Amino acid sequence: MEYVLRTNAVKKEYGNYKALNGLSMNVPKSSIYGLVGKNGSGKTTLIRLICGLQKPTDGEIELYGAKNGEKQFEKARRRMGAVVETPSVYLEMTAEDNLKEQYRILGMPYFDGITDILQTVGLENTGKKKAKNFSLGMRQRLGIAVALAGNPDFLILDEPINGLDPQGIVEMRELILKLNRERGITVLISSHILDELSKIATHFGFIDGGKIVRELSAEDLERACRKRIEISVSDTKTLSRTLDRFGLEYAVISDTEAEIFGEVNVTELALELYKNNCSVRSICERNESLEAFYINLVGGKSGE
Amino acid sequence: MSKLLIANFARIKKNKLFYCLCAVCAVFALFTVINQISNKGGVDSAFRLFAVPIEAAAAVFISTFFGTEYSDGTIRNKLIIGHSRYAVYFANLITAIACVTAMFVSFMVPVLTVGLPCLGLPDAETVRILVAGFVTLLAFCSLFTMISTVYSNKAGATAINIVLVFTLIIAGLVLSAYLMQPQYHAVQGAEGMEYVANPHYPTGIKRAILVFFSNASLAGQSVQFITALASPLWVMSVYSVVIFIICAVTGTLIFNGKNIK
Repeated sequence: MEYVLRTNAVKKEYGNYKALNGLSMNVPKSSIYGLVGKNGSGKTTLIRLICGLQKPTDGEIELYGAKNGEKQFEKARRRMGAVVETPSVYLEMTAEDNLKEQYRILGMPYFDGITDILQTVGLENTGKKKAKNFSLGMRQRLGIAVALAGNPDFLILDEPINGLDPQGIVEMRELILKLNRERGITVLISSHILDELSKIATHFGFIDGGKIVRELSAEDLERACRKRIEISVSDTKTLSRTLDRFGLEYAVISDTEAEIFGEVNVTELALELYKNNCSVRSICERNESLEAFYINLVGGKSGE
Repeated sequence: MSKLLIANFARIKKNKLFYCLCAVCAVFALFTVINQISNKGGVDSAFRLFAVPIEAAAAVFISTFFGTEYSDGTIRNKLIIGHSRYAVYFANLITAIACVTAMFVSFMVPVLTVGLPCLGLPDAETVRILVAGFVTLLAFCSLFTMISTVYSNKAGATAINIVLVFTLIIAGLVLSAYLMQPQYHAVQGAEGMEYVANPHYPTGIKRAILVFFSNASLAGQSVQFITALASPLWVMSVYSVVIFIICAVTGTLIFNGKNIK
């Protein structure tokens, strides 16, 4: 699998405070990677390091195969765009002037494509309105437009739906999906709203205490949150044969443990196992919502 | 760095504050010339007042212009796409120098167009002061750029630069006044006018130290341009160049290690 971004044991310390504590993650190409964590978990700090706004105390960041410190790393940055925390736009300029300014910073000789970018983000009719008079949603979209100015194939969005109204959230979601599906842009989105991310992300990284505690694909996450029965038996081979006869979907975890998905007649199953000399040690039903999955993952600690 | 310069100059072209400050410098110069004409003075006095208004205008503009990059967060756009910290800093410094040059020209235009025909040509010393004074302005550019790039609060940087420039000007005036005291006072004695040594006149090491501060302090130099104190211009220019380099190097080093939010 090709990765756009990889980090290896990245640390960032501010004095005695460890914002990142050995964080390792992998963002696959063409994915929408959701970086999920509570407030203060290190999401924005990680994004600042990736964007070159701050230097890591230790560890490696690899962007398109180039490691930080290498010459190619700064060149690789040219392929990315980012909106970090708040949209970076000149408030005294119009949307078009902001894009022209970014084009100049990028060294692009012509202003071709500005109209297309504004249309993509839905700001083509703002005319001479200055960014200071935009709504929050419009500024967020202008921030994304500025990030798109260099035709990046990797986009980093730090909490893009913060402060948006429901319609704004829907528009933002559709824009991100459009960029990923139509232009093949890899997107890294950080958020503490798992529900919203679960609608668009293809991969997830759960961050807590400055570390990635779990990285998994959307399919794995869905599987993890499905209603299931966790069963502990004396012999999972016998259990497997029995479940195959019953036509039930299951996953064997170890020699004595398995998970069974779907509706199970527990009495029938237990009797059948008993007939085949397989004893049932424990049965437990689980039905996790995404929030419950996340809270279990980070240990149910209270927010700071 | 050329891309950053082009971007900065494009922003300045649309910046109303820049044009206002240039206009203020021009109006100040015009008033100075009119004042000299009405008092039957010389064009030299009009020329020599250039430094103070331009320093104040530079303090306001440089801190506001670069402070906006922090308050709007747009400095991030430059760093994210791969521009180095050195390129960003030196592009800012060159931009600041260009702006101050424009303010200098704005001041000179009324003096040259109105002052020269009405008051005549300046003397050679005035022309040398203009050259030395421009070097002083460049040192101020470096100082204000360092403060504005290193301190990420726009309002704070503006306040620091303005307070700094006026504090230095006041300090320069006080130093000049102290140094310009006469060595002897004329007093009426029993046998007519007598000359008595001024007890407050600084001599020896004390005078040397005060002269050093008057020359090394950028605003002290500006005051000397007006009062025409005796320090050689080349000495003041050397101090200005040293301050320029120290501020540029210090600013670059601090900005290079700065954690940007």
